[in-house]
Amino acid sequence: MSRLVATATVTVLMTMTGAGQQAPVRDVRTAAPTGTAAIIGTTVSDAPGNPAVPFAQVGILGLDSGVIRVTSSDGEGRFQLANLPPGRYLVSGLKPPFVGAIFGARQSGRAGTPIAVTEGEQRTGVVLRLTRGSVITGIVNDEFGQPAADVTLMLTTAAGGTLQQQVMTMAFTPPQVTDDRGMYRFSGLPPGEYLITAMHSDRFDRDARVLSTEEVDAALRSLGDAPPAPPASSQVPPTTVVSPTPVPPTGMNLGSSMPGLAMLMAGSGGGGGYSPVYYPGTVDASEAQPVRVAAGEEREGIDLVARRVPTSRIQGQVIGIDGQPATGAQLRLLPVNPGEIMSLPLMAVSSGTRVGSDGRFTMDRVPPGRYTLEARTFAQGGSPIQGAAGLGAIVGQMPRAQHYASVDVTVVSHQPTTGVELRVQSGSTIAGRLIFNATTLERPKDFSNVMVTLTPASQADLFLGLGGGANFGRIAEDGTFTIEGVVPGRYLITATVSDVAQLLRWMPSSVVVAGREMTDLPVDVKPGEDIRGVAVTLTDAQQEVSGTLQDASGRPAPDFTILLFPADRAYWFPNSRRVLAARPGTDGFFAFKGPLGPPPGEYLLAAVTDLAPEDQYKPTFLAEVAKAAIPIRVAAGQVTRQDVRISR
Amino acid sequence: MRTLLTGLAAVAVMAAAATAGSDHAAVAPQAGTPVPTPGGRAAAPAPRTGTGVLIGRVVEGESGRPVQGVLVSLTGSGATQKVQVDGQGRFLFTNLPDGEFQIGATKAGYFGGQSGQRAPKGPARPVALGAAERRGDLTLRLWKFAVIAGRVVGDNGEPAVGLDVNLIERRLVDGQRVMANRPFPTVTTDDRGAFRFSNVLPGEYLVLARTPADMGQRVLMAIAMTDPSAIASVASRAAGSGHIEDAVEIDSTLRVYPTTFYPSVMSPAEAEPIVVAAGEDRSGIDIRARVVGVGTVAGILTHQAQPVAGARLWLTTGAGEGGEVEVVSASTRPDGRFVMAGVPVGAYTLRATRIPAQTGAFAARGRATGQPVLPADPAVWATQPVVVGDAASRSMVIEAQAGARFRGRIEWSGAAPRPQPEQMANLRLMVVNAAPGPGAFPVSVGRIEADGTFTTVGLPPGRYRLRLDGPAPWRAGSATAEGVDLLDVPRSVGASDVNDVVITMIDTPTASLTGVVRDARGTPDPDAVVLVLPGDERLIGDRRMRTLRTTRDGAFSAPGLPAGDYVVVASDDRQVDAGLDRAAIVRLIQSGTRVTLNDGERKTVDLRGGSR
Repeated sequence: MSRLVATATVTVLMTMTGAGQQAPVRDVRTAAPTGTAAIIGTTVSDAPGNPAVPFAQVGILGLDSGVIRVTSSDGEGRFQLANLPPGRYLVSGLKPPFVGAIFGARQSGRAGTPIAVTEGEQRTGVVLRLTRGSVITGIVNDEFGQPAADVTLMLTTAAGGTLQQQVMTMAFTPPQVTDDRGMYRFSGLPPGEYLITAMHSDRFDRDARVLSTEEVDAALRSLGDAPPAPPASSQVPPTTVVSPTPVPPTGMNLGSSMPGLAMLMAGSGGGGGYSPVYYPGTVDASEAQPVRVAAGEEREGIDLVARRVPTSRIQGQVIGIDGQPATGAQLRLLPVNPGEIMSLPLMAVSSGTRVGSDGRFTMDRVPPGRYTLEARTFAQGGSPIQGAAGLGAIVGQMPRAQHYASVDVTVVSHQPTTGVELRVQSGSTIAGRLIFNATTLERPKDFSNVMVTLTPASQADLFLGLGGGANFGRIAEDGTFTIEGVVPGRYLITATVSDVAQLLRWMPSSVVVAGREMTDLPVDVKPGEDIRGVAVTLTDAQQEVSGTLQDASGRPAPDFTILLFPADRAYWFPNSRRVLAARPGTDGFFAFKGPLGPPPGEYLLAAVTDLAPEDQYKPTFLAEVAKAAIPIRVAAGQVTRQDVRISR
Repeated sequence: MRTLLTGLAAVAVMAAAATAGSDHAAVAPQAGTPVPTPGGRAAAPAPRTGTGVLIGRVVEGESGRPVQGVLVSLTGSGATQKVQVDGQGRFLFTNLPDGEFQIGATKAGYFGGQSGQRAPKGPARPVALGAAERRGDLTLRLWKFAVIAGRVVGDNGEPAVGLDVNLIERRLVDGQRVMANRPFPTVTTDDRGAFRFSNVLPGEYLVLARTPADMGQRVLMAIAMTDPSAIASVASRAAGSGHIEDAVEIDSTLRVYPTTFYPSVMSPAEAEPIVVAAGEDRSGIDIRARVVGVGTVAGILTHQAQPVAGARLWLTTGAGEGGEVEVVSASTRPDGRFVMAGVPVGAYTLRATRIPAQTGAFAARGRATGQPVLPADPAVWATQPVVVGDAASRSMVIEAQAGARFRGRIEWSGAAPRPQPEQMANLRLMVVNAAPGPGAFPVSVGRIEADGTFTTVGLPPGRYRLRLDGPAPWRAGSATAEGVDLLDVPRSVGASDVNDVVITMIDTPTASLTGVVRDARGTPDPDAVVLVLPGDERLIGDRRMRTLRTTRDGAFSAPGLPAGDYVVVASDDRQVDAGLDRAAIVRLIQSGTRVTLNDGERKTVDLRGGSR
């Protein structure tokens, strides 16, 4: 799924929850599209014999007619979707604990086959095969072998999953909290490989000193002694320590056999809170062990030891351009190897850290590991994007970033990392202008809802970029924009219209950088180099590539996937906008069209038997597919028809 | 459609929760506003010290066995200390000044642990320590949470997977069983239909299960997430109407589980409550539920032919039967219209309320800057039965009525100088809802004019008391309407204003009651609980009721009592902790020691009995 789609998904879904801007209310009930066709079928299980699944939810989305409907199959698993206008429809079924199924999808999480119906057609025999959900369950114990209650567990797809897969995993497998017996249960899972992250609910209290039996015995004995004469004045001069000096423990009274632990508990370690723990019980994310489940499998005994490893702290100072302490700096902590959703806890750490007026900061609750610490300072009057950490940003005020610094940091659990110096340098400036190329729509009256965005080119950074780390620029009244303080790296330059009513109607057709056409290609921002004169064109023109896929005897061949991708390998990178995949419908018809259709260029069109989402952007995979592909030229605003025949 | 964001939000919230309690608040960064604190914690003021010592142990409340791994905190008299108990569950605090301290023990899976607490819900009591005093006899009690667990089973005995299960506590408040306003956090049934609430405080609960409200949309989301062309289609429908519930057609054949109470009933009045004590494990709480179809409730809310925008609507079950539970809620749109789709068929009550916000009541830090400015628009409300599944429920026209107000004047009875006009801002008139539930709000405000007349905001029907806080030495002595004192007794309010309410402000101090509780041999009882109750059972309410703990010397003190007849009874933690229903309170009133208090009086009553 391209990053535009990812952004669009989040924007659309936020709109649906009312979290976005309120569009002016028109009629309360836009009349639902209606017609005379029907899609009729059953919901069944993938168990042997395919028994019916009664009372499953069935959803239908019209790709042409705008139908959005939800219904149920009956007690025998039969459903009927009637009164449909002609067109193509995607149909899905869901009934927990089964994994949701889309008609024609070969596996969970993959695209389905659109069902094509003509006027009045009664299409029967549509079977929705629901996969039995898998289960991962076990007990979480603490390091003493005691059940650990109230520990939150999170599943993520094992490394290699696309952004789309990770987001879907999070959406459909919410976190679980261990109960009083330390037990947890994830159910309804699609088959696959998962990583389990555990997070403690309690916090390490570094001010609490651990008492030893000997100390308490001695104190009890002394109760029998005469009390010491009270001091002449009850005002004892205040000491300078806020909390009692940590007493080195004389006994491992917590039943622990880890010598370091007691020392940690005595508060001589830095920081507070506990590090996330990865199955089976490591705080090192790179050692997390994946758990594999097959369809319908119940994996019991996936037990975790939720060791309490206090997090640590990073202390340092941000120094400004002039060598003076930098005020108002913002910090961001990234793992050295990004790409895991598990960096979300770091976002909370980063956002909770304050940089003082002397540029000094203390970043608490940092799990042990290797990181890149970034600092950014902002120009007067700017403030970064508000919004929940990690989610698609609701754009508030625009950031006017100025300077940045970046340093690698290693954090160990029993010792604070101090003396970190971040000397900022000027970020780069990206400036240019934005033009509307209107072909059929009326161009927006002004640029108030338009933004130029720089999204990081790496997939991992993309997810972080959806919340914080992306750069945005408003467009001035004369159509120019300036984005300052850009941290060096590779970015895709694009622009969006954020008005709900115009959603996805304007797409970038041209991004010219230094005379080169760089639309949908990552641009290198080098340290100390500005990029000016960027010309971004948004257009409402759409292109279409469509046709039918047939087998050797001329019949529709819906069990394939069509790939449309640029001939130029430069576009073969994760979430590239120009690498597109679509399933043909039951009539063999496929279409790449609409706002998410192909920008103009030279493409290759091919059919593959199956497409794993993680393969879609792999250069090695695309190179293989290219060998059997048909070259296609996509011209601006044009519809290109190309039928494909599978020859065996 | 919320599920994606729920998932993402859950992760973000959890990540934030992992850092909750940090020295820094986990919020989005505000780089434009540097905080001039040095990196790290603000330095606390230097603590007071002395040579006092407190030693004690933490035990499990039921068994008396020591508990390990407990954090014990002490605060008070300028001192703050925290320790982790030793291997025998003992704690030790040294270098203490004289004074009073709150001491609390905490451990995951347990509640209670406050000094002086002898019963799971009993009151706490600070520990007093003299200068250089050393005590070794403290006990802190922790109780384990209770567990309520079971399965939800649907038709044909198959597990009902993915349902929302909630607990609603039924608590004794002033002798009446009322449902807690907020249900417990929701638990979802797993693939076996099983649910488990692990952190339950002792009490009485109703258990209910239902299909989550957004269930119908998850099936669509799966498509949207895997197919870009589907997103474009949905986006254009969403943009067209602005409200997703208008674009999604929910077929009436959709089968959902309606709100079902344990064991298998549809209304809270017929539900079987579950009573749990500390540490009790109530598994096997199985709920049998049956699927039903769905319907839409839609229409328009008007008041005097004008649409009512921004009103809150609730569909509830169990109205009028001593406990109402919300099933679904929504808001009216700018044109007064509302839509609630995918509602399980059945009979409900629809309640609508709009109370426009008042302004100007409080400035920063709660300092009153003046009397609240009551909104020009009236508060309006409506209540109507609805049968979901009937055609009528899809096109309702609901006429709201203006809320009734309390109106009247303030009179001053006393020798002290009347408050100056600028002090009138400090008079706070409040309307307290005696039984808040869906459709009503706990506290509303009133406005007092310079001439002493007052009006409250409009209120939906219900039972309300009045409260007026004033600048010292003035206080409200009575608030009389039709012979009833609204400071004590809630008044049922319907469609009409309550006029001619007279609030009499008096400047005499309140009365107070002190005494000592002794056991049969005359020894002061430091563990007794003293109940101060109104002599007239019609005045049962928090204004005239107190629950007190005796000190180490067996003494108790109840200041701040309004004049009247009272009854004083010595009891113990266990009896009080079990909760007193109205019959029990009335029995205590009939059997206790009577005492009459006039304004400003201080009387002493010694009691026999208590905990021994």
